[in-house]
Amino acid sequence: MDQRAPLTLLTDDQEMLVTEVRRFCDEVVSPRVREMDEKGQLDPAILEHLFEMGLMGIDVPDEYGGSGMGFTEAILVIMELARVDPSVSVVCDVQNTLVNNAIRRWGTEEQRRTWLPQLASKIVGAYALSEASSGSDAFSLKARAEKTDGGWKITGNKLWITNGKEASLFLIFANVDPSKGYKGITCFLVHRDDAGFSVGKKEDKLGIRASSTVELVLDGVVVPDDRVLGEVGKGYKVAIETLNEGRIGIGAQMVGLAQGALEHAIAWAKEREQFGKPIASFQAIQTALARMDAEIESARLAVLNAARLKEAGRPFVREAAIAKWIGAEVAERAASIAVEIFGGYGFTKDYPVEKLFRDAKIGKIYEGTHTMQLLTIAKGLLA
Amino acid sequence: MKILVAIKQVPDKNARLQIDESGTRIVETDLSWEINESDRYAVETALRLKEARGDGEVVVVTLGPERARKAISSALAMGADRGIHLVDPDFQGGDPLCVARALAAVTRAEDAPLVLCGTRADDDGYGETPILLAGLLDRPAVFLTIGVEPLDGDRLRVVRELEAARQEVSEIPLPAVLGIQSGIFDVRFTSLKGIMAAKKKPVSQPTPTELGLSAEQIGKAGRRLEVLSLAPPEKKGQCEFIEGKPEEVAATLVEKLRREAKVL
Repeated sequence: MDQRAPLTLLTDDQEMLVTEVRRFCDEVVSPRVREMDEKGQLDPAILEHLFEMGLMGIDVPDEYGGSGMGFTEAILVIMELARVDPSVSVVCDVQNTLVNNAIRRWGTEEQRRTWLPQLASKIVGAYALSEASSGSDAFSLKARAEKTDGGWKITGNKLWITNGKEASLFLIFANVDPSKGYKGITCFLVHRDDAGFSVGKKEDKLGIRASSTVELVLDGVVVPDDRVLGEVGKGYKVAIETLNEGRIGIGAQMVGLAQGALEHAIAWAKEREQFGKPIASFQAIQTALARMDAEIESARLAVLNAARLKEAGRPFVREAAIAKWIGAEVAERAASIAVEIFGGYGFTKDYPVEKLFRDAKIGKIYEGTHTMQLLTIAKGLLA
Repeated sequence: MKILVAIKQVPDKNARLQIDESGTRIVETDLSWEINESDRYAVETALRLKEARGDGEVVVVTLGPERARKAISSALAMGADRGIHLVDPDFQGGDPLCVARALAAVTRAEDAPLVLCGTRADDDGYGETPILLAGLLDRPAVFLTIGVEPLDGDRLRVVRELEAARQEVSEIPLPAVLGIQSGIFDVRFTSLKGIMAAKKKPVSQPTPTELGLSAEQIGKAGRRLEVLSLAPPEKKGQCEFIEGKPEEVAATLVEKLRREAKVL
């Protein structure tokens, strides 16, 4: 498509993709949303479909067994999935924007050939940076890796690891030489079956409950040298640069969530009658809906533009931070107003906006907190 | 076996339709389009037949303007092998018989033993094309098909949906035309690889002359059925609940149908 085309104008392929993902959401995801939320568990049938449709390797090139589409297409899918279930969306988001992305960008040819075809067709990947005592201060992580003969021995605990329960492959960040500070941080590819590796406690969360968030325990996990992703001591680069792209994905997830909330609110406002007419006929409701729509549109444009910049190989750190920040703002507000428009009904689990309200909160927390996005933006302004 | 699937592009089910100034057509500007529902089931049926036999070719054909190319692309993304687009202006604006004539010419040119159509179009709803097509080709036709199974020799076992959940099972010889009913099984989700592969699949655009058709047999020039006017259904918000014991309710209902609605 012409680079000057309107951001929201989709190509024929993208239109077909969005239509099909929407049909998948309506027919397969939607009927399972409530149960998955209650149980705090992803239905395996959904994961199967995600792989079958090629949604777990969207921008992985054909030669590595992927779908051969682009980053913008991944963003569109993440957005569509979140419209119906932000939990399902984040499963797809982490796989595409963090795990596949990191391996494509930093992996050796052999690592790409080993892992990408599996990630695109059958295994879930997870990204493990955070620890109990290192969140925003990510590089203070305590996990250690010691050199052994022909490999590395990794010890430490990881916390808040998205999709960890389902994942087979983990990108583990550990420090090989704490005396060098962040320049000791290295990224390792660890498999679930590696001796000494185990998945610990699963968190009982406020929102996106169908996506698992777990602790990982690495008790002297020994991996060969070919499991180092990127260079030894350059893991901090892998972490930062991958997260920059990941933020666009979270922005997309939040825009999708907000769009879902708006659509539910519109349907309800037309159906619900008070004072003898649909509440949609009251200007108080109309302006609330209009404001939601205006905010969502601006966030959508920010997300799509960040995606396009990334795809064009242009700098996008500021735009990615803005996309995530505004997405999270808009999602929280849209979900909140949607609950209010539903009134008492919206406060119950019998109607879908209550869940979206809970799901929205994570947008201000993961993949860089809300404040960290602002600091990233400010850093650029004051440089 | 070569299977020809006739599909039609129709307005999206959720689209809000408006009638144009002539009062005989809908406004197409800003409308979104999709493959007709039962035609999607026809494509799915064809793909399943091909997969069950392990060989064959699924060819989709559509008659419609430039925009209808997207319907072909969608079917190719689902897994069809190639497309035929009857896009020439002379094909457009005809009645169901004109469409059937064009499809009959394509069937002959393709020498396709099996043609699948959707039962009826969700937009104009004539439901005539498969039957007219079978007539023109002098082939057996089965309408409201909900199951197809290949048998030995050139025969098919076909299940037809009747009223009150009854089914009719028959065996028919090929060549044949089947009208496929929707809603029977799951239509596959198109994979992203399918979307990418569709771009490389051939789509031909034969002219009427190439198919041995003259302008008077097809399109506007050939039509004998004319739409005089279109109108949205009138909204009548009348709903009455009849209360009481079942036999009393039934008696009151019959009375009302006889006296008020005058339908009995």
